[in-house]
Amino acid sequence: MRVLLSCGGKMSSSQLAEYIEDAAKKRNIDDIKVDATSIDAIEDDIKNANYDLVLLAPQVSYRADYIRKEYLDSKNIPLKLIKGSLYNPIHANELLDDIIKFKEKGE
Amino acid sequence: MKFNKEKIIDSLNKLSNQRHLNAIRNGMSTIIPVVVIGSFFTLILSIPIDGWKKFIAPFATKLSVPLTFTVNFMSIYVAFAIAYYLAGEYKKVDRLSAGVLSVLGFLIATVTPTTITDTMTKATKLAAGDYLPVSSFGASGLFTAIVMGLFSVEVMRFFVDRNWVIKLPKGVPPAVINSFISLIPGIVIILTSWVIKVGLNFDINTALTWVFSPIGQFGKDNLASVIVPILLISIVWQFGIHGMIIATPILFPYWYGNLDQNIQALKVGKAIPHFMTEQFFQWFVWIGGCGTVLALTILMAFIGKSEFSKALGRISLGPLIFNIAEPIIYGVPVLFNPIFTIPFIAAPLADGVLAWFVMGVLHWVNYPIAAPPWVLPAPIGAYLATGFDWRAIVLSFACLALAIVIWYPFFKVFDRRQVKIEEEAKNNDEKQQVVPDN
Repeated sequence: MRVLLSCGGKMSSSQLAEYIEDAAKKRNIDDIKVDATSIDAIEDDIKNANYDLVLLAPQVSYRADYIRKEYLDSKNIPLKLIKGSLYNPIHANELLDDIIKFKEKGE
Repeated sequence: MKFNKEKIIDSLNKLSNQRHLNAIRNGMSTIIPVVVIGSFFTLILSIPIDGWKKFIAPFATKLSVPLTFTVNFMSIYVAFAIAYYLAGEYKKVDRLSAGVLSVLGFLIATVTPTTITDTMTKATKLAAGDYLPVSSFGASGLFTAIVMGLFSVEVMRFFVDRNWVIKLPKGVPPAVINSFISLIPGIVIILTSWVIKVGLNFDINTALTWVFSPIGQFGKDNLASVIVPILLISIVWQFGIHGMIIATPILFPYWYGNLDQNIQALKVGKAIPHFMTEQFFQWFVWIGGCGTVLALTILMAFIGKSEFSKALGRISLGPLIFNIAEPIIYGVPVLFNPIFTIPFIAAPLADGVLAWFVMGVLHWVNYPIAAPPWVLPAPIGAYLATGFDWRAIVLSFACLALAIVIWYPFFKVFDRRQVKIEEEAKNNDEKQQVVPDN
C-alpha cells in the first residue's frame, strides 16, 4: 500500500513519513510505504505513481477540495486530512494504526 | 456584531484557494531559490577577513555577474512562473505557452531598447548594436510581472473558452497544436503591451506602483510596518491557516524590492538603506516559525515536568531549530489552544519591537544584504543575512530569550495541567487493575 503525505514544503511531512515507516518496520509490516511531498508538487506525484491513499497535513487542508476534485475523484483515490493534534512524529504509531485500519476496512 | 469563527475560517480558506492569489504566491516563491543563490555571491564578496577582501576585490565585477542575473532579473522569472501556475489552475490553457507569452508581454511593457549606431560608438565606448536597460527586471518590475502573468493567462483563457483559436486537423502533435492555439491570444497580448508602452508611451510599472502605494507602507522602515504584518500573520494563524500564505502576495514585492536595493547599495559601496526585508522577520521574529515557537519547544524539552512536554519537546527540537514549526504548532497543539493565544501573538510582536529598536533605531546591527535559505538555525541565518555581522547573532539569541520569557508563564500553566492529566490517567489505570471490569 502506497501513501502520499503532503505538507506545505515537504519539510515536516518527510520527517513524519520517516517515523511512520519506522513504526511499521518495528511491527514487521513491510507493505506500507509513505512518500512525502509538497503541496506544489502533489499534482505530479499523483500522476506519476499509483497511490492508494493521500494524506494532507493540517496546514494545507484548505487545498483538500481542490485536489479531490481535480486529481483524485477521477482515479478513485481517497484523501484524508490528518487531525491537527496527531500531526507530530510522536503520534506516528497512531497514524500508522489509522493507515492500517484504512487498508483493512477502506475507511 | 456576532463573531462567527466558522465563517471566518471559511472565507480565509476561500481566499487561500483563490486562483489568482495562489498563482501569485507560488510564482513569487519560485524566486526565493534564485535570490538565495544570488545572495551567496554577495556573501562571498563580504566575508569579513581583510586578506580575503584584498584577494577577492579584483574579481568583484566578475563575481557580481551571477548576482545580476538572479536578483536583478527576478521579475522575468516571476512573470513566467505566475503565468505558468495560473495556467495550471485553469487546465485548458497550455502552461508553457502562457509562461512564454507572459515574459514576452512583460519585456515589451517594461523596456525600450536603445540602439547604439556606429557613429555613437566613440562617445559611448560601446559596440554598435541594440541595448536593453535592465533596471526594471529587478524587484522594481515585480508589479508589472504579476499583472502580465495574470493578464496573459486570462487572455488565453478568453480565446480558448470561446474556441476562437486556430484549429489543426487530427494527428498533428500536441506541441504544434498548442503553439497554434496561442497564436491569436499571443498577438493580442503583444499588441496590448506594445500599444500601452510604445504607442501611448505609458509606463505600467510607475502606474502600478502608484496604485499599490497604500500597501507600500509595509515596505517603509518604520515600527508600523514591523507590527502590522506580525499581527496580521499571527491572527490569520489563529484560524489554522498559514499566515504567510496570505501575506506573501502582498508583502513580498516590497520586502524583496528593499533587499534588492540593499544589494545594489552594497555593490556601489553606499550605505545600506533598508532593514524592512523578509530577512528581518525570518531571523529575529519567526524564530522556529510562527509564534516564535522555538521558545516553547525549548521550555518543553528542558524544563517540562509532564511526560507529554518532555517527549514532544525533545522529538520536535530538531525540526524547530531548522524553522519547521508544524510538529509543535499542531502537535501540542498551539493553535486552537486558548492558553497559547496570547504568547503566540505577543512573543513575535515583542521580538519585532526589540529587533526594530536595536536595528532600526540604535543601528547596532547591520541591515540585511543577503537571503540565506530559511531552514538555517536563526543565529546562523542572521549572521549570514547581515553580511557576517556577529552582533546579529547576539540579537537573534536576545530575541529568542525574550520569547522564552514571554512563553514561560503560559507554558507553566499548560505543563501543570498536563502533569495532572497524566497523574489521573495513571490512577485510573491502577484502579482498573484492582477492579477488573466484567
